[in-house]
Amino acid sequence: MESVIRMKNVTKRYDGFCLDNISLEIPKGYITGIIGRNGAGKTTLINTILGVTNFEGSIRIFGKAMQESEIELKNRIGAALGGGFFYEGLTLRKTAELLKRFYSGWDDAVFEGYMRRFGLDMGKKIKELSTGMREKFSIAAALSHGADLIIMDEPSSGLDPVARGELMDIFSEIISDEEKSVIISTHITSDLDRTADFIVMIDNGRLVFNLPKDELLETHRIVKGASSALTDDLKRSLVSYKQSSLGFEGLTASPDRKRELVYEKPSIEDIMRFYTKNPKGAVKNA
Amino acid sequence: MLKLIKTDFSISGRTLILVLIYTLIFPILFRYSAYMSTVGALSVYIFVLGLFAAEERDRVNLLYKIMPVRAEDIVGAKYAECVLVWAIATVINVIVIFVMTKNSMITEQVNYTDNILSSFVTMGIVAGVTLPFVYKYGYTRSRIPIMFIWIGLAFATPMTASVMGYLSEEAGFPTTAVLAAGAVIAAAVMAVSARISVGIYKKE
Repeated sequence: MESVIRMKNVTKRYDGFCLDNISLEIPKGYITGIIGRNGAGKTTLINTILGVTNFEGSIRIFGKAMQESEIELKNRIGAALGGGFFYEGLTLRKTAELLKRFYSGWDDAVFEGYMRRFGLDMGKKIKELSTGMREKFSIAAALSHGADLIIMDEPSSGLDPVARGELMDIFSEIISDEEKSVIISTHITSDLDRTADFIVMIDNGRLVFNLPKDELLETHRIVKGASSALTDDLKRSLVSYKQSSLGFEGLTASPDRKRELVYEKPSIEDIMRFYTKNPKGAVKNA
Repeated sequence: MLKLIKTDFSISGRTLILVLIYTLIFPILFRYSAYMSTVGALSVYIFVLGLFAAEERDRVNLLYKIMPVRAEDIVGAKYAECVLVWAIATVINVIVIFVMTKNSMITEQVNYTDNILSSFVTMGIVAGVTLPFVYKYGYTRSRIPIMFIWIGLAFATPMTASVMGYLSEEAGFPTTAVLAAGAVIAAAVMAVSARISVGIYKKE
């Protein structure tokens, strides 16, 4: 499988936080979701990919390092970070004109199409937009210059469920030619249940896993049972668990099944929740 | 780099108007040409260093970091803007002072060359010393160190004046030659500062 991004031993240190020795590959032609709780390191990971911040280690995008081919690579990347970082006093039209000066592949027709699709008024100023509208504009801008790699940091956190669904549909359309790739960082994992092909989990600055979504969901099971069934052997086989007077609930990646326990298919949120409790539980890299 | 300069000028129309207004007001109010240095430095501070829009400039900085623009161009554009804004302010200042002198509103003997050179030295030193701090701490957080730098430069002015006095009166160098040498040094300070700023910008 061809990779769009190859990260090797990437480390970034801040006061009180360290993105710790991350090595992973993001496949071309798919939607990859980066999950993790707030402060896990998702944004730092994205910032290192985008070259916004310096780091130790190496990152190759389309086989090239950012330092070697900065202009080419940035033209091929469409990024939307948070609600975007635009001049508050400019209208959407003026902001688009500004962006057009810098992106060689900017397409007015595509941009206007997204403006209509998102119901955005080109005459409005950035400061007049709600959080959700800012995010929509930021996404529209990122999608309007023919980028081969779309990177979105928490794109759906300010959007209503309808807009989030529409955004996921757009991502699915983008990757339909198998040439373009999408990376979405989010803690709203329900968006990824439907659309993501690969899931990368980061916790406390460390890579927890990088797996195809289907494999992730197939290999993991929520285990439930009475507290008496929670033996030491079982505890060791669980990623993590929680216990109450009613019994226990845990997550297992083991194929073994016991008759006295109940096994349920987990959601991505379930998996994230249990791995967050025990981030050292497994490091699996596809 | 040209695109960046064009963009900055197109989005900072109001600030530019403000610069133009006090460029006119200073000589009219004080009826004195020596304020040309202050006008040049203040223009740079207000227009380039973002006196009124520091928070917004810090936010938009992230946009520039993800756009296909080289760090050298982003930083270089700021230094070029310093010179450009200074040049605009100086040209207006010279015109106003010239008109006022012709109409006897300024009675002193105006030496335009010396005033322009001295203004360039001030602008070059101020921009050269200040901009690395802006790239290190951002527009908002750098306001305090910049304030101290300005105070320091203000305190250094009498010393600079006495050195100038010594060079022109005791050592016999013409004032214009001393100021021209100062302008060359200021340009060198800006060039070194730009390299430092690019390094900081890439590291952040």
